[in-house]
Amino acid sequence: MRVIVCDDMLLVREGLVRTLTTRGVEVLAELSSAATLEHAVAAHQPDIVILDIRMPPTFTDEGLTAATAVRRKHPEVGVLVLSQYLETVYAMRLLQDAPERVGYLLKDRVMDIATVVDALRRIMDGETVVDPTIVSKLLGRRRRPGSLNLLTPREHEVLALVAEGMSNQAIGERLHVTERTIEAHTGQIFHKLGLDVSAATHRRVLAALTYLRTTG
Amino acid sequence: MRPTRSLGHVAGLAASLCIVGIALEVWDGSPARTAGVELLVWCALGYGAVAIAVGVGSFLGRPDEVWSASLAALTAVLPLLAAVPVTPGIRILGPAVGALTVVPLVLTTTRLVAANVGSGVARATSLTRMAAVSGLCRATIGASTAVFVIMIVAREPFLEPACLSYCGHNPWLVAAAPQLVAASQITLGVLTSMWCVAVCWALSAGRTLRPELSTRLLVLAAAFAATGSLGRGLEVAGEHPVVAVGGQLVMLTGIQAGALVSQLNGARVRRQVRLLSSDLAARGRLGQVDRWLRETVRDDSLRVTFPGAAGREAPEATTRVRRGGVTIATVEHRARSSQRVDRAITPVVAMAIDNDRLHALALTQFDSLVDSRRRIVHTGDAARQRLERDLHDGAQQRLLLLGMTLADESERAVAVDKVICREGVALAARALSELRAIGTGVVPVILEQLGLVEAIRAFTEGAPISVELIIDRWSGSQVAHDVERAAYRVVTSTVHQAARCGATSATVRVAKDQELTIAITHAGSPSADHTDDEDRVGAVRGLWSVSLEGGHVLARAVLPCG
Repeated sequence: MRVIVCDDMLLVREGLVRTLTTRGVEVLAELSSAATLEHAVAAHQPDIVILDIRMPPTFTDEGLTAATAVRRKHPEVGVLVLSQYLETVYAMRLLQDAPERVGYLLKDRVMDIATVVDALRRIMDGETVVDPTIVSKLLGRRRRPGSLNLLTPREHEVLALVAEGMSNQAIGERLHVTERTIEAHTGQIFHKLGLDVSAATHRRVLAALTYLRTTG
Repeated sequence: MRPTRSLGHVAGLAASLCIVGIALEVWDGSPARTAGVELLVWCALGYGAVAIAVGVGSFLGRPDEVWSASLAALTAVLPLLAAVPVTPGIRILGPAVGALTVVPLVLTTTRLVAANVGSGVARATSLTRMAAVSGLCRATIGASTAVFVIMIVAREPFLEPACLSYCGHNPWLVAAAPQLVAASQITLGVLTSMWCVAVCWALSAGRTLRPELSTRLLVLAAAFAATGSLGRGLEVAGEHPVVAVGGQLVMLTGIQAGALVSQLNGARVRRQVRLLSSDLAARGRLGQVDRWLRETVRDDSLRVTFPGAAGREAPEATTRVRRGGVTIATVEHRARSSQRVDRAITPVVAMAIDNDRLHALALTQFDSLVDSRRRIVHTGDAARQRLERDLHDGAQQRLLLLGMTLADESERAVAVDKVICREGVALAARALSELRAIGTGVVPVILEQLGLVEAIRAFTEGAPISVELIIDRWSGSQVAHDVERAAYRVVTSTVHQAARCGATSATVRVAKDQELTIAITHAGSPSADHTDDEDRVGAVRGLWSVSLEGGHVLARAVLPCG
């Protein structure tokens, strides 16, 4: 796997590069801002760009803008955004603006490099990645009794994995059941919640997240 | 003028002389009566009149009236010289001098009338017309007096004196002259007495007479005394009294005409003041007096400035407005309108100006208070932003690095160390998550970046109770940052308070058009302290209220968007 790391925090960037390298990820370039990112992508042709969300000049969400730009100009290059923000809206903005081959992980995940590497692999496989913390926070959100109560515990589990961006096959592997079983589950879930069943992974991620986020 | 002790003495002496005079008059027809006694009687009567005039005048506190009354008394006394049995040259001197004193009497009287006009009308309305009417009135009185004097002193240049009462072609003679004269004298005398009694009664009852009324009564009494005495003097000198009565009537008519004008003008002034009062009360906005003065004085450049406020560079002229000895405002105007400005600033107008000044002062102080509150909030927000940035750039990065290093280390370490390293990583992760929560609490980046609705929605994701967000309207201009911050704080703190007060859910309604309205309803107890919310809302000139609606607590913030 060939990546470019873009983060303005030198120490963390160096640490991340070192760890990734030990895991066999080839780091083509290290950048401290998104300004030169496009040039670097064109020059190095990486598989994935790892971006910090908060970078100069405004230190807010430059990472999202850069991710969208990269995805638009280089559709073959995936993007993993590392973020300090737990709010779902940022992940959703990323999914809306740059569908497919994108991931949104909390930055804390760099301490658990296996998750990062796994996310990189999933993105390469064409999946969408949403940090499990965000999904579990949404699922654990206090809400009035509603359609979510209609789901069985198993369906809950599947819904969480769907929202994290996993494909049916990946969910099946995770839960040790067949892909067909998962298909049946997701069909049930989307029917019960009144959502459109869509083939594209990122669309059903968005649908699930929007549902979890807006139903009080 | 206050009644002084010496004046009291004079009045007392004169009053006693007067009584003696009256007694002697009653004693008329006695053999002891001589020319000398008669002179004494008339002098006593005259001094009595002076004393009464002085007493009443000082009691009323009006020196002008005192002069007027004194002159009237003098006019009444001097003709009595005619009664003294001396040479004809000297005999005619008395009435002549008496008649001459009528002139200053009339002048004083008209001045009094004009002063009344001045005190009322002239100050509140346009003055030129009033001055013209007053002048006309004065001229009329002057002319009729002149004719009267000429008729008496020059012995009727147009008519034979004898013809005045007996000629068949005399148009003035309506009935037999002596009877007519007697009837007129009695009627006028009774009227005058009644007026005087009415004044005394009103004053003793503690009533305050309108200045123009008291002046009129006094002047009428004085004029009556003067012309009556003059007539008496002429009668003694052998002339027919119809001339005196005619003069009396002319003078009374003139004075009445002046009084009538004065009264009409007074009514006009009252109307103006009423209009001004209702105008000011109805509009009640700052700057109304400015405009009113501009229109009244007819000076477009007129401007009222208050102490401490910046005036114009170099106004042509300025007039100070004082109230209670303090300068409350300065009126800047053209030099030629100085007099009119001076007269237009009546006590009512000064009060209105003072009202404007206090209003402006209160507004300025309010503005400065709100500004200072806003600055305090701004300073706090800036400090919060710095803190959040420092947390992110410092502690969070270092914790991340620590976690990464420990995680790396745990790969290589032996069993025991591996456990310790993993624990270290877990602790670092928890610390990071706590720091993130603190950072979000300090400055919700999402609010600065994605606006109020997204921020509230994000807040509901992790809120301690179920929160339903309803956007009723969202239109109009953009909301200022500090207003958004206030709205967000209000929502988060109220929801947290609701959770603490036992509510299990809350509804947040947001509506925005010209202003931003946030309404939070929950079923918790209404005991929460909302001082902080009130301050936040107040700092951006919003309104904050908490009420009970159908068993639910309704917290409401209405914020201006600009």
